[in-house]
Amino acid sequence: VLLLSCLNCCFNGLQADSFGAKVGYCVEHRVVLHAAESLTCGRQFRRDLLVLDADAEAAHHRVAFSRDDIVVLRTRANAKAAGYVDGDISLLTQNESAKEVADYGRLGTKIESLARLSKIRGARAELARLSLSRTYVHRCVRNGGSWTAGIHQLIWTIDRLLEPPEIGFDDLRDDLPIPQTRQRELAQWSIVMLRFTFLCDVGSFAPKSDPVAQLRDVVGRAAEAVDEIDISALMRWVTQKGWALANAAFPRARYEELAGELAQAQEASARAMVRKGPRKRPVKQTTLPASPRRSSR
Amino acid sequence: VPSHKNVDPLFRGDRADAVAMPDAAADPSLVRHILYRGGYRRATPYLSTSSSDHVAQRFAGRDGRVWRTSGAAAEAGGANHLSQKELDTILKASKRGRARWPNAHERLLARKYVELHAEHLIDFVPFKREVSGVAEAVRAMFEKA
Repeated sequence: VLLLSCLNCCFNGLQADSFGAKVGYCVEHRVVLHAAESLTCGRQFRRDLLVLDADAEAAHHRVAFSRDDIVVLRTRANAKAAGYVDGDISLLTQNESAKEVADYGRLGTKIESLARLSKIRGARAELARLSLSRTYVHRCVRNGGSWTAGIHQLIWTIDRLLEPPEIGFDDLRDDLPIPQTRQRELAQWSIVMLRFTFLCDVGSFAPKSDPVAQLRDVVGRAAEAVDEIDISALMRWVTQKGWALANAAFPRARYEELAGELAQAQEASARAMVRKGPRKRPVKQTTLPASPRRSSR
Repeated sequence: VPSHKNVDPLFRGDRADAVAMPDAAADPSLVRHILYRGGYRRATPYLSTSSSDHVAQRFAGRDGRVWRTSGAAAEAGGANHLSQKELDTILKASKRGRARWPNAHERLLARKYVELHAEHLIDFVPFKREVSGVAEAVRAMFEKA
């Protein structure tokens, strides 16, 4: 049942199956998870599956578990009462990316938190950014928004595609029955596939006529081309095919055009708010300056 | 892993009071089982085990227990034992029968989990025509670790 737990949930950006922090943090319930692999709630959104499959599994999960409380998976005991979660984030302030996750959406908007995460080096920050970006775009679209809610995260992810994930040995979480070098390779493979999973998500939300929709099968193309869990072979495919495929679907020029339009729309909305007073529901923040380009060819 | 023998112990993290009951007549797809598709307590003809007690402890969580069996004990009880090596070979080489799955990414994910969790399956499909024998077989082949 590990895959149905908070360990495999995008709302916990600090931990994955074999690497990450020793404790998790749920940005929905705003609690530190001291036993993420034993806990769950009805909001679980599986990190390992593409959005349509994750949605299907989430529908099953909502039938079995309440959205309101985190519980122990096997016993349904309240996790807070059992002492498995708490609100003490002091443990998280020691690590830059964990601190950002704990502050997610609290200091400014969520997109600003994601922008800050995108500037932190290392796989822990990338795990958090990709996990939370998935929930961010998913929720925007489910609430009637457009795939363009994800343009910044999309370009940050494409810009990182050529970089092998940086996983330190202290990022490896568990005493697993495989050598740590192999464990690190599996973790790197997982991060690269998570990058493509996010691209697929955004591609799935775009209309079929949009070039971005070409991204919706990119993770499948990677898996078919490299039918092994081999990070070197996967990175070769990214260099030879994947990067070009992503850039063709969403070139930087398109990003800059869309980002400009969104910034103008937001400014116009802000001016209208000043003239008419606050709206009932503020427009979701989707614009911010682009982060520096990390890689180019 | 290659050194794992049929008589070596296999560990399963499960509830403290009992091992979950497989459903011999349920969908035998291996990827579906390994990826835990179909929701909590979905029907499955397999019981997952690991050659690592650490992994089993992780699956047991703080409120569960580790149970022990072996490939030999499973076979003596009428089930099949699909070793980690066999699972990886089947998922890699075959796209038919119980290894059939339409999604290449999820096939790879299943292989990753098999490796990460040193996973072995106890397969109860042989009980398909005699499902009433499953409960007794499970009780006989697992003991508290």
